[in-house]
Amino acid sequence: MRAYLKKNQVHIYLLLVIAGLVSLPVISDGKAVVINLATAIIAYGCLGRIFGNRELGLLGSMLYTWCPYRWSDGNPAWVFVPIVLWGIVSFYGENQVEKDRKRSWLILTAGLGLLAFSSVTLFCIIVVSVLLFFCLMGKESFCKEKVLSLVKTLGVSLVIGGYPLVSRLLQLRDPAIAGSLIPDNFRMSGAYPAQYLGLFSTAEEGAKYPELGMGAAVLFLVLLYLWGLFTGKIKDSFGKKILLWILVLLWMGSNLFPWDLLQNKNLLFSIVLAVLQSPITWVIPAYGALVWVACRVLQKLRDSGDEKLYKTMVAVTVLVAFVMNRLG
Amino acid sequence: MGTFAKIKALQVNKQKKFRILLAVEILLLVIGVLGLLGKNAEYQYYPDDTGVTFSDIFLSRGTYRVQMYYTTDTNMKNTMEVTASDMGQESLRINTVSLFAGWDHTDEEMWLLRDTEQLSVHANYGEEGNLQIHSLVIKQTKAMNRIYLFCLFCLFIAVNGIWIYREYDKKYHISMESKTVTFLLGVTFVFSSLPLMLDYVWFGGDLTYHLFRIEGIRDGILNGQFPIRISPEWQQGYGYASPVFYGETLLYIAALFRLIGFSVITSYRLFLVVVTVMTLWIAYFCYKRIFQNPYIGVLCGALQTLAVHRTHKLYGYSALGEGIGMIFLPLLVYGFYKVFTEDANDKNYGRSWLPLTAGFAMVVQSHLLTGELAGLFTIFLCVVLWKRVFRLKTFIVLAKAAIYSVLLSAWFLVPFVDYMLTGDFTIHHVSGRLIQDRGGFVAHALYTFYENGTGIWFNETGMKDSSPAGIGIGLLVGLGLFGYLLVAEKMKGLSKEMKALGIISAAFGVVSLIMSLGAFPWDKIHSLSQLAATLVSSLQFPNRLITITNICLITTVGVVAKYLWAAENKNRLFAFMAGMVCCMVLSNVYLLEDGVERKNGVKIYNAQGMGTGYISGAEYLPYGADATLFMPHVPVSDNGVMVEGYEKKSLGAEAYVTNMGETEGTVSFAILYYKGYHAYDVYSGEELNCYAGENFEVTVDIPAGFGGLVEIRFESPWYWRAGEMVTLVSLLSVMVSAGLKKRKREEGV
Repeated sequence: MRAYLKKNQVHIYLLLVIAGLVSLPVISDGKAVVINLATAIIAYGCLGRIFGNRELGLLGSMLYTWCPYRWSDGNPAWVFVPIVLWGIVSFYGENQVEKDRKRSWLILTAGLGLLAFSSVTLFCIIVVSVLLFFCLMGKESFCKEKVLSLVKTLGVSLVIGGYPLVSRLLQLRDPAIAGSLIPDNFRMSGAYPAQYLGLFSTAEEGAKYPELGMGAAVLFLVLLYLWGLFTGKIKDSFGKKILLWILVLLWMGSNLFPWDLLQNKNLLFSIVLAVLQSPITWVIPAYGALVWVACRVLQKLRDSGDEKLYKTMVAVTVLVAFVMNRLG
Repeated sequence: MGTFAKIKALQVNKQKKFRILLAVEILLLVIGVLGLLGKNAEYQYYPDDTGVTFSDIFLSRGTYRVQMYYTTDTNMKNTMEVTASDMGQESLRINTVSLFAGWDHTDEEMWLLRDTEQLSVHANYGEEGNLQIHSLVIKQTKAMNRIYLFCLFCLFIAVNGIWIYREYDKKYHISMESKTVTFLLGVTFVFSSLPLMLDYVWFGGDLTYHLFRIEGIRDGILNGQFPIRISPEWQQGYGYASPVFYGETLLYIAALFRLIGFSVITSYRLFLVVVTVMTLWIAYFCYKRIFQNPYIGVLCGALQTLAVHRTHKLYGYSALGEGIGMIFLPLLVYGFYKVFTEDANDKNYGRSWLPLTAGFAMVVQSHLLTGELAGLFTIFLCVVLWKRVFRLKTFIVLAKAAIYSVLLSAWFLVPFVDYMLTGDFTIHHVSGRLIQDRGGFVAHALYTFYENGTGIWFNETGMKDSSPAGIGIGLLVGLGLFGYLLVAEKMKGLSKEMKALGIISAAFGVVSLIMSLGAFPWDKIHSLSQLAATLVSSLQFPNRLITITNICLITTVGVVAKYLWAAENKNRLFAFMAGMVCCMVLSNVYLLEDGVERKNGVKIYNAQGMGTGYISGAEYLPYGADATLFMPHVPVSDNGVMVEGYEKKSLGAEAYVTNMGETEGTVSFAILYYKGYHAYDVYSGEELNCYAGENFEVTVDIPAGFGGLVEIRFESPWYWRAGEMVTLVSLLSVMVSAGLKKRKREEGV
């Protein structure tokens, strides 16, 4: 352990810097500091494993931990989203570490289980998101091995998360409790698409809308990725599926999605809406995946062999993330 | 081979999959067209026990007209409101409407996006006078079907376009440069459209005025008026001659969206999308041609589309006219660059007048004040380059551009000049307005993080909550770099023409920026003469000059980029481009985001939602008219004149009038008099004396013993029609001649 810490001390210091910078405004709140630190460490570990590169893990950790929506949301369950992401990517063999592919269902289960104990809402949303991604992957998903793995994952996750989930659902059988959790206009409490493109943290206290940006650096890298796909510089069929998944999740998180079809209809729908509480929560898995896309671009750059360009992009990413973090 | 020939050669129509796609599309379109046929449902209701509410109405989704029949003796005190307890405003789109004593029913459009069983229509009593509700009629319309059909059509165009693009790429391998440019233009469009990704529009001072203009075109077209001279329903149906004074050429696109069936606010937002695309594409096209480099074209296009001033005017202040005027300014820069720099002996030189003509004609037809400013700086330019101006071939090209601009704008200019010369309107009496204290501070010009403040009276409030009356850090950096390169004599690699372009654009940019400040002696100029006073007053706000500053400094930035490109120093070029992007993000995108987060928005769905009579500064009212007295009423007669069977029409009215007395009497109608209104005895065809009566209402003299059907209608004078013909013929001649020359060129190749 000591040898590991000594070997990786630079990364540890940097993780502390990442968590520390984002914690400055709430430094007196011990819980928030711990959550930020845990987020930084877990994101570093998961993304590092996905890309088989600790430098990318560190960068991904920075982008994820500094995500403006994460600060403003304050939901501690964000900590465990990277584990689910690691599980999904490993599930389809798109990660760099061979042994993770074999135990992908375990990783996914661990992520979902931890989520269930931190936020039932996010747990439910991530479970549906995972199923959605499973469907979007099409042929690659519908083989016996994958279906069994998924069933195993969901089964075990539901068993682990059974207690909080069932107790919440039982509680929501009371229409008064369910009703109190549903916004008057559920659909319109979703995000405007323009909010996803926020570069600055202009939403101060009392602002009309919550801060929902993914962060300027992530947006910059995602645009670079889209440019690569559009011009044919980047060929990445798994990445395209992830992008499609993100798009669907962002749509579900926005006020363009017809959530109003479920409102004021029956108790079942009311329970569903009460569990979700707000459409915006669908954005959390999408932002996790966007950080993956951002790291994927840098990975592609590194693999292209242009060391200078890769280093420049890393420097620009850090600079943009830092400056925009401070401006916010 | 041209692009179209290449697309033809792809023969996508012979691909089986594409044929299937086309078949599906045609089938869906046919189904859509069939949806337009058939009879519309009509429902009639009577009020419940309360006497003012119609409740628990079941309606399936669709578009409707809500007509509540009532009697009241007050104006704008009582209202009608439609709600549904099982859905929110995003699914039930209708505004509250005021009731008038002179009308007997409402007629509101309603967009119902989901089925409802709990629709309620409620009359709110305003605690004054009488109000009696008789019945409610809800009429289904085909607007929703038209919207679906239009959306399907657009979707199919997009799908087919993407298909053909992919096939084209496969066969001809679209270059990386071309794809990158397309991508960058797309990204610029997305960011400059942030305010359009909301389901409302930011409320700006001029918003309702422009919505009325759009609504006026729609109403006019629906009533058979073309081109629109008087918006018929404006001011409670009195009409307003805004179209005569304020060019509306491009606004017809917005009206088209309304005619399809979109709500007021959706049509406006769709139109702003069109405006943004045009601004970006025209700026890109012009600067690409000037600098012979598509990336510089993209940079300049982005600077123009994301400009702080454009965001402020178009989105923040809803100054639609200025926003539209900005679209065409790059054409002027490109046109003048061509005219003054191309070889006059070149066989293509004769065509250099085209961009200038298009630019001037469209600016004049969109926003006269922008046209005035462009004209002022054109004079400055001609003074600076007087030697070139008086070169015969150049002079001919410039004269041709001026003449064709006038001819192409004749349909607008003739009525405008007619009213300005023969009428007496409020606009003739605004020369007393001083504007210097409305100018900005130097701090405005040098600011970086602009926010959407509302303050425009800077002499009173200073910079506190100031509107973003500046240019953004990007243009300042560009100007600074150009200044450095010039002083340090580093621009030797650039052509003489390019260098001159940089110097002139930078100088004009600085001059116009200074003119936008409160420090500029506008009041002194105002006091010079009556003409100066009129021109200065008509400017209203010195910050309008920033429109010119923008376009000039964007050109300067383009020159700097061209220099760096020519210098072939990749690192510096990359640093410059990245720096410009950063600057745009810091000033321009920040402003857009600030607006998204903070600006108050409005959701106006139908014509009644914008009220009935907002006319901004009332510039186009006959001088002395009191707009607050414009309330709908039945015809008012005197001297024993009897009026029966009155029917109010669009820009007119009809009534059976008898004068049993022995002296001539008069009848006044609830219509605002403008030159062009005539009254006829329908049976004999004889024209009756028609003029502006009390408070400029259309008034007709009724001779003693007269009895007959009197019709009031607005007729454009013959010379207005002649102006329209001149425009049409000029446009056709330009198009035919351009087409012939193009064919000749291609045959020559």
